[in-house]
Amino acid sequence: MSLLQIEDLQVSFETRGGTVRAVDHFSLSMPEEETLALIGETGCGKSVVANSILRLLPDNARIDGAIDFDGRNLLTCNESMMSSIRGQEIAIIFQNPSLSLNPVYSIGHQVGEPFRFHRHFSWSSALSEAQILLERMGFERPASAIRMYPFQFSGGMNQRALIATAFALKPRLVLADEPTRGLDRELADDIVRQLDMVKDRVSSLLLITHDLRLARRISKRTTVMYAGQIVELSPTSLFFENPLHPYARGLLGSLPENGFRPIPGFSPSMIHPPTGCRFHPRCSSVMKRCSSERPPLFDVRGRQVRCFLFDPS
Amino acid sequence: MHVSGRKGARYLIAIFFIFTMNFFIPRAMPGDPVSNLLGEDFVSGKETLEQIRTELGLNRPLIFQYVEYWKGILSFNFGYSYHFRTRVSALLIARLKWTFLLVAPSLLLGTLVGTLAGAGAGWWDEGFRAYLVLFCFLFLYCAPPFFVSLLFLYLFSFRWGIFPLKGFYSTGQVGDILRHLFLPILVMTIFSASRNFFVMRGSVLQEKGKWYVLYARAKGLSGNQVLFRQVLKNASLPIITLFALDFGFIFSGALFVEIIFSLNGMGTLIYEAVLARDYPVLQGSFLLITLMMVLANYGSDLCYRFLDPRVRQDTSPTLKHLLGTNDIGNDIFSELIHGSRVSLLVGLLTGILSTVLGVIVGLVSGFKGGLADEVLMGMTDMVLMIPRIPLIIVLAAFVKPGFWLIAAVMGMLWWTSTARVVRSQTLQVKTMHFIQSARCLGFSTVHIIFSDLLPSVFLVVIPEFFLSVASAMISEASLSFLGLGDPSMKSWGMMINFAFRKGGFLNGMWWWYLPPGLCITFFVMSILFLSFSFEERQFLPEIGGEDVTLAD
Ligand SMILES: Nc1ncnc2c1ncn2[C@@H]1O[C@H](COP(=O)(O)OP(=O)(O)O)[C@@H](O)[C@H]1O
Ligand SMILES: [Mg+2]
Repeated sequence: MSLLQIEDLQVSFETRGGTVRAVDHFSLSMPEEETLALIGETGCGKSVVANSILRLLPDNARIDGAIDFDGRNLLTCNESMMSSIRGQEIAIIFQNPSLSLNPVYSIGHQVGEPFRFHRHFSWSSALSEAQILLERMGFERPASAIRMYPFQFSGGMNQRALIATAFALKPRLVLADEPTRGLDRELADDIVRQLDMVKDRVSSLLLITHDLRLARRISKRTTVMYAGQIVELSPTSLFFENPLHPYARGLLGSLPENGFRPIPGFSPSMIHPPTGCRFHPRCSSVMKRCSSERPPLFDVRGRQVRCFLFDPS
Repeated sequence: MHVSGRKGARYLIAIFFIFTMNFFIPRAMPGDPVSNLLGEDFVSGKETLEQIRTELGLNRPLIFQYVEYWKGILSFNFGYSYHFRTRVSALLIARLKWTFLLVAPSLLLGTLVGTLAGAGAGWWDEGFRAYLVLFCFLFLYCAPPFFVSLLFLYLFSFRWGIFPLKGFYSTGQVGDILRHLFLPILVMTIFSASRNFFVMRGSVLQEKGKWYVLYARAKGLSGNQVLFRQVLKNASLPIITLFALDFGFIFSGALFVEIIFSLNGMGTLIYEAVLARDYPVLQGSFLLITLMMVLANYGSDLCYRFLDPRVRQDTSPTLKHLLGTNDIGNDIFSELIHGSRVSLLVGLLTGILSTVLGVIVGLVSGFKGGLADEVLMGMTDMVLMIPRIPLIIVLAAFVKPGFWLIAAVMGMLWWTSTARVVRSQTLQVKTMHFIQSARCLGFSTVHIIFSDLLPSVFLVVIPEFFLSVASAMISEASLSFLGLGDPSMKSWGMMINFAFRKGGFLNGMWWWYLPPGLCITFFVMSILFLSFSFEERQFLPEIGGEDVTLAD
């Protein structure tokens, strides 16, 4: 039985420039104890997916579809139920750690908050829990770290504090939204090691990233998004050996070790996406039907790919 | 802790300087130091004057007098008031008591009510109830306190007789005092609450969009918990600054209320002392107020340090960051350069829009006359009467305060004076021969307006244009300061707003607010200089032009 089941999720934002269709017919199922990587270029809708799972989208967002978590539909349950799920059963690590932390509360206070608000610990025991968590996350002097403030920490340290907070109550699902964004290589590796270490404590991890190395290293399956749609879903090992979708191939080809060949063209507008296959204007193996027909997800030996190259008929 | 010690030392030095100034002023001012020190009510014969001069030590060396002066202050001896016929120190204590009784509860209550209401209004900023609350506070904010006092006095005391009409000379029971103080405290509370309301509302609106708010919700805090456990502490930081400012305002602002409700507090004391030129009382009050102000500032400074850990870091200018950094490490110098674009753009847009509108209205109403003139000038008068800043506050409550909206609204309000100037210029030019001849040649009205009239009003329009650019820049700054600017565009006004909200004023971080403030000032000044230079030249070409046309 799957832990998280997203059915036909559609998210759009009303803006002055028009309706931004950020996520389009997105379906995904995550079993227990899995690490799934969600990759794609900036603006393709990854964060919107994560935020809709926790129902944290702004008021101008319109969500359709169903998100089933452990037998409950997250899109229809009431707000107090949602609050008790957030941070306790599903936790999220945002992409900008230094802005996610409240500037006027100490690190210990903020890492201890889940214990305080969900488990009703006293502040002093919440703080000592926070200290234990920070120690586990590799802070050298956790006792003084809990008394520090976000501005006194580097981005990497704040990120580790966020990770500690996310794993505090051993949630069943953790959504990590670009946890290594903006960090240099060494720090990023450090964060990855930490994530790798703590992820066994939870059931499942949805790792959103555009860092392919990171995806390869810790995920079991990899999902590629392009312009709001899933274009490929494969086991990670197979994906990195032999990506199917032309966009996924392009992504791998743009890595430094594979020759650094960028995909030509620009990411499409999400207000007026290209007709047919959304990738066709940039695709090197474009066919005639690509510009008019919308490709469905085809099953290819246990993998899924949204491209007419794999049309069995 | 040594930082607050250093701060304390700085305040002590400030007190020392102010008190020293207070010593020198009456002695250095023209006139007899005796009457400067004793007040105008002191009249006496020649003999006693000399006697008093010796008594006051005024013929001793200055340094000796100075030491005596400090001795007096330290023993709380501010001299004798000949007007009130009592010792100044006793008078001050008696009066201060009443002011405190009036001001302390109102300030505390007002801050509490205003902060909470403002936080709520900022957090739940949509829906009918939010607008209603906003409107009520706007009304209270805009009504002058003496008007509210008179209104309450009329309603509660005169009409309904619930509360006594006159102040209390009958010193008596607690109940009696309460009955007398209720209305004045109510008025002062309302006043203080409305100030705090707007600061807090703007502050919460600003904080609401921050990432940490979303993150707090992601951690599972409910809406109320996010407001009270996460946002409130951040958002109430500017309230501390306001509290320190209000504290100084106590003594002057309470004046109206004290007069209307005939309370014998500090406000009335100062008022009477000014009327009677009672210098000892004025000096004593001045010293006392200084002391209060410094204490209030020191107190809120400590509060701020306690609440906001960020002000404990050093952000002062260095070679790398010429004007220092702000609390999140952004370079102020870069912000200043970037902010110039926003401020200038608002000014220019408003200037252009208001000038175009004003010129069209002025030309048409001046040239056409009759009904068109009536209608257009009536409209001008009406627009002139719209209170500008309150209108924008109301608008900002309904729509997100965007950059373009602010420029558009200001442009739509600022054109009236241009229209008037253009109209009167048109009326003058209209009668001149070249216009008459153009008419005789059968040119259309539109043609005459654009090719004959427009050039001749052009020169009076230019100074008007500069004036509206300048006033738009200042207004944009004030709006931003009130937290009603476009938060995504960091203009100079926004930078000052930021300095105010983040405790820059309180903590002496001059590099946060002085550069943008000076930039606005100098920029507006230079625009006005430009405008003056055009004004001086405006009649020259006209005289020449007119003659040439006539000669033809
Ligand atoms: N609140 C919003 N209003 C309008 N558009 C939004 C909003 N949030 C996200 N978007 C749009 O949705 C798309 C996906 O954004 P996002 O999920 O943040 O991308 P990423 O894959 O980089 O995380 C982008 O085109 C973005 O402009
Ligand atoms: Mg993102």
